[in-house]
Order: sequence, then structure tokens, then C-alpha cells
Amino acid sequence: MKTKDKINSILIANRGEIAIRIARTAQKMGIQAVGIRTQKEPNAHYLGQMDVILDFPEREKNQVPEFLDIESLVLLAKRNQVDAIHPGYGYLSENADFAIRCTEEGIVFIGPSPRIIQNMGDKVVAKQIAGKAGVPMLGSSKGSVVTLDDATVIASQIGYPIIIKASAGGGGRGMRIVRKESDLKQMYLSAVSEATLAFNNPSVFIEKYLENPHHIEIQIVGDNFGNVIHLGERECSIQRKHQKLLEEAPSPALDEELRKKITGAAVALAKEAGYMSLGTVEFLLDKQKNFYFMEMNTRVQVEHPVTEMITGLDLIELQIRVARGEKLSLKQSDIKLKGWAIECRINAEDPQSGFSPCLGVVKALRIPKGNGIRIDSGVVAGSEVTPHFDSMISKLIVHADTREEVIEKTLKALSEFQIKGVKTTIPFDKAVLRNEVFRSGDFDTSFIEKDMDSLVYREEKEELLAAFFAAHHYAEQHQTPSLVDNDEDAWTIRNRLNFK
Amino acid sequence: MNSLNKELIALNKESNAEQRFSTDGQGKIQHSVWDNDLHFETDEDGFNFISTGDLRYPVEIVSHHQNDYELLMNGVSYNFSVETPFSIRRKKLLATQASESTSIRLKAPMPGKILEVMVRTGDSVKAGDTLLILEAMKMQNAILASTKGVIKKVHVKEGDTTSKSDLLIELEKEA
Repeated sequence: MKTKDKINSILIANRGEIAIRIARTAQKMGIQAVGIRTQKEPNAHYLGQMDVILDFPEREKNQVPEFLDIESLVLLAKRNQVDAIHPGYGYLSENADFAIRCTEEGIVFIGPSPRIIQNMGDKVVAKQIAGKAGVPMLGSSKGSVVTLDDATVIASQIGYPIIIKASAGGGGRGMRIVRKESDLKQMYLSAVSEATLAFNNPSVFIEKYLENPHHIEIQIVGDNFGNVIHLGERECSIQRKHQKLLEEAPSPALDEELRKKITGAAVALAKEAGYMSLGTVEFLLDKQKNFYFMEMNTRVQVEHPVTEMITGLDLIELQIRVARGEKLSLKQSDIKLKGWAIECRINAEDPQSGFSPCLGVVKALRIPKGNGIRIDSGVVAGSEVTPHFDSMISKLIVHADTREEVIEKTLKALSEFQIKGVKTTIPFDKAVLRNEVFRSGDFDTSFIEKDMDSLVYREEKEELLAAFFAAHHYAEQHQTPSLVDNDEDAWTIRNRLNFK
Repeated sequence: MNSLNKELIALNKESNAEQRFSTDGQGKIQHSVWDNDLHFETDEDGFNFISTGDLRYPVEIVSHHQNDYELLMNGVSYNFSVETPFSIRRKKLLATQASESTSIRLKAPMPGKILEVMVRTGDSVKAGDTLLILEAMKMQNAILASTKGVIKKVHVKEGDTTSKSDLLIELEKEA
């Protein structure tokens, strides 16, 4: 990979909270943060946090979304002499072609080399590498599955239940669990079309599906000199349809011995891959505490702040430093995990009606403040939540000494976190944190389905107060003591209506 | 008879739970087991609060039509209809008469685009069958039959854009 000694400016090929997150570190490092304005949200909050704003060039209609348009983004950086591009997460963050085009134009892509993105993005090659590194895995298709007929044959070889995943995937998009052959056709076709839409790549593969595992991921960072260290694990088992909703670090499912094994496997895999940059190795952990390599994400994760909280490190800074060719200044023995951290994703979704997205304007916003409380937000009062983008509008990250303390502190922060205008997942987050199974630490990816009686937490006397409010409002609107109210005999009305 | 009119009942439309309040006809109401005073306030950020004793919750009226209220309290939705003792009896009677209806109107749960329609008028379906695929916010959502039945009418076709609550499919329930 071509590197530059000096990165003076970074084009942030992303939006929302992660664009702000990247800009903050860039500015701290004396690097100019360059944001991109799109016509879909010309007044977005993230733009206010940039040093320079570039307008996304006009194009013909019906092209790919702006942040997936490789040529336009690369040209935008080149024309404006920006030194580097940070892709954030999602969009082009794991697209090797994008990294190649950046490198060809002399722009530093902040992430691993195109070859590594390609290898890790190709689930088959990734598994070969994991195999060489001695990391355990589940049975799967040998390559991309390109027809329904192939899918049918492979699925019956592996045995149901199986899971179909987008080869270019991540974040749960393009992913389907299939429990019986009769469901395969619809699931396969919808996975393919969702993968095409989300990643501009229709390719999918098939894997054995493990029922109700834990989802544990290991944060690693490597440099261009063969050094790889890990920054501990994150517990990501609180998921709905493979979308993570609440994460924590460390994981209550690991003890020291298992932590040593699983982080060791992640580092071995990264070394085998020749990995440089920030990356995440995802594992599934079964009831018997066996772990299996699932995939490696070659980008910064949404949930990276929990790792930052317990390590005291700035992961984006590490990523930028490696991208400009620096050697890791940290050794594994320098990494000390301190305390416990929780992240709640605040999504504009209605947990009371199947987490359906809520669109609208954030009319008022109040965020919690205090020691060990961090808000990474893409919205402010007045921001619009549109159907063009992901429903995650904000993240609440809380740090404390112990798991018990951080749960209480997060609950308090959530009660102070107020959003008017759109429904959010805040009442859901409260319900998770109040749940006894969650508190015991003994939960897995079936938690939401199996262990939650209610998807929202209702505060003390909440329903009564709500009822009171409605009745009060009604009484105020109908306060004139009319003749009907006073004189009409209920029996008379009853007879009129033929009430029997 | 006046006492009947001085009572208001907030009927939770999801759980059918009833909360009874007495009213003085001047806009002041009380809950029978409620000792504390209740206060309403709007703060400088534009949040409305209801408070009593140690409790102070943000509240928002999402919509209200006549006596129907959709509220958000602490971000949780509540749907109430405010009734009098008389109107609630009438409502219950009407409800028992109407429960014989067998037609189900499936509406779009969110705004989106119809990717695929799997059924046609006259098709028999069973509970859990996929009727159509609605794409919203880059996610594909399968709209499933809630019950066994026959498709009475399909109101959308592939490629249509729908708003929230648009009628998608009418389904005739079968025992």
C-alpha cells in the first residue's frame, strides 16, 4: 500500500455520527476534516463539525447513493487535493475497488490494503486464512453461491438450519436464516436483492447456522511492520434480525482463560492475513464455550466506543497513524482493560411496532451529561430523520468501574435522554438494562425473543399518568358544563339509542 | 344522574384497561386513589412534563381526534379513548356486535416500496405465509398473513411506493 508521510486533510466519505467522530480525531491530530454535502440532507448536523465542506457533484438520476459512488468520491478528493479518505463504517468501508481507486489516484485509503479487504471480504478466502491460523470454524459453502439450484444442493449438504449471508456483507443486511428447504427460494432471492441494494454486490454464501450463540468480537490493530495487538472483546449478543442494538465491553460470557484463547485466535488470524489497520474479528460462542470464527470486519465498527472507554485509546487515531505508515507505539502489555462500558444505539424506530423506522423532525433534544458519559450523535434539535439513511441517530456510551455500576449509570443517563418528534429505542434500552437475565450476564442472541416480556420499559405509574394526561386534556377541551351534561337523563338517551 | 357525567374513563385501547377519574366540570379532574397534586409544565427546550411527587415524565400528544388520544410518555406510546360511563357501555355493546366481522385490512407498517407481491386475489393463505415484500430503509420486510384465509383484494403492485398505513391487501378470515 502506498502511504504518505504526512496527511494534512481527510475526506470523510460518510455522514451522521461517524463523520463527526472521525472529524473530531482528525482535528485533534491537526488534520483538516473535509465533509461531503449531499442533496438529500444539505443541512445535516455533521456538516457543521467539518473544517471544509465539499458539495457532492451533480449526477444523472438513479445512480447509486452518493456514499457508494466510488468514482465521484475519488474525483472529489483528487480535485480538491485531499490527502486521504476515511470511509467510516457501512457504505464503501469494505470495498476493495474503492481502496484500489484511492491508491491509484495517490490518495491514502484509511483502512487496510485492497488485498486484505478483498481477502477478508471474500468469506471463502477469509476462512482459508482462518484455517491456516488454526482458528475453529463452522461448515459452509466453498465459495459464492450464484444460483438457487446451487444453494439448494449446498444447503442440504451442510444440513438445515443454514444462514445465507452477503459476501460483501456486514450489519445484518442481506442475511437470512433458513430452517427448511421450502423456505429457501424466497430467502435466497431476498438475500441476493438486499445484498445488491446495500453493497452493490449480489454475491452470497451459505453457512451452517448455530442456534442462539453469543456474538463476541475482538478488536485488533496491526501496523505495516507485522505487529498486531488486540484491544479486548466486545459483547454484541443483544441483536434483533442480526442488527446489534446494545453492546458492552468486556463480555460477561468470558473468563480470563477463554479471553486469552479467543483474543489469541484473533491475533493469529490477523497475523496470518498480514493485517494492518484497525479490524474486528467476529466469533460465535456456543453454550459449551466453543468459539467459531465468523468474519473479519476491516473497518471501524459502530460499537468501537466501548473499547475506547475501557482502553482509554482513540481507535480512529490508531487507524490514521497506521495509514500514514507509523509503527504501533503500543505493545500488548501496554493494553490494560479498565472498568466496564455499555453502548446503546439510539435508533429512530418504534420498538412497540416491530422496530419500524420512524421518520420526522427531531423537535427537541436533551442529552445526558456527566463523567464517563459520551454521546456520539448525528442529530440535533431541528434535524430531520429521512428514509434515505440508516435509522441510527445517536449513540449513548457509558463507562464505570463494574458491570453493576455501568448498568445503573446507563439507566440514569437514558432517563435524562429526551427526544421529541420521533420515537426511539430508548424505552427498549431501558427494558434490556432492567432485565434480570441481562443483569445476570447469562444471555445470548435469542435474548430479545426469549427473555424479554416487554420490548419497552414503563416507568413507575407511567400508564396511570398517561391516562390522567389524556383525561385531563379531554376535560379541559370539554369544560363547559352544557345543558346536556346536566339535564339529559341517561335513561332517556339509552332509550333513544334503543340500548338494551 | 349527574354523577355519571362527572366521571371520565381513560380506556387503554391496547390492553382495554380502564382508569377512572372524577371531574368537576370545570376542567379539573382527580383520580380516586390519587392524593398528590399534578403539575404540567413546558421547559425552555420545548419538552412538556407531567409531574407529581417524585415523578416527572416528559409527555407528548402525538395525535388526538375527538376523544381518541395517542400519547408518548417517556418515549412509550399509549393509545387512550376518553369515555364517559355511558359512552363506554355503548362502546362495549357495539364491540360485541362488530366482532363477527371477518375481513382483515393489512396496512403498510412503514413507508416504503413494494418489491414483490407473492399473492393474487383468490389465493388461499395460511398464517405466516409471506404476502409481499416491502422495502424500507434498505431493509426488506416480509408482510405475513396473520391468519388463515383467502385474499380478497390486492391493492398494490410491484414497484409501488407506499406511505405508512396505506392499504396493501384485504384478507378474508377463514376458520
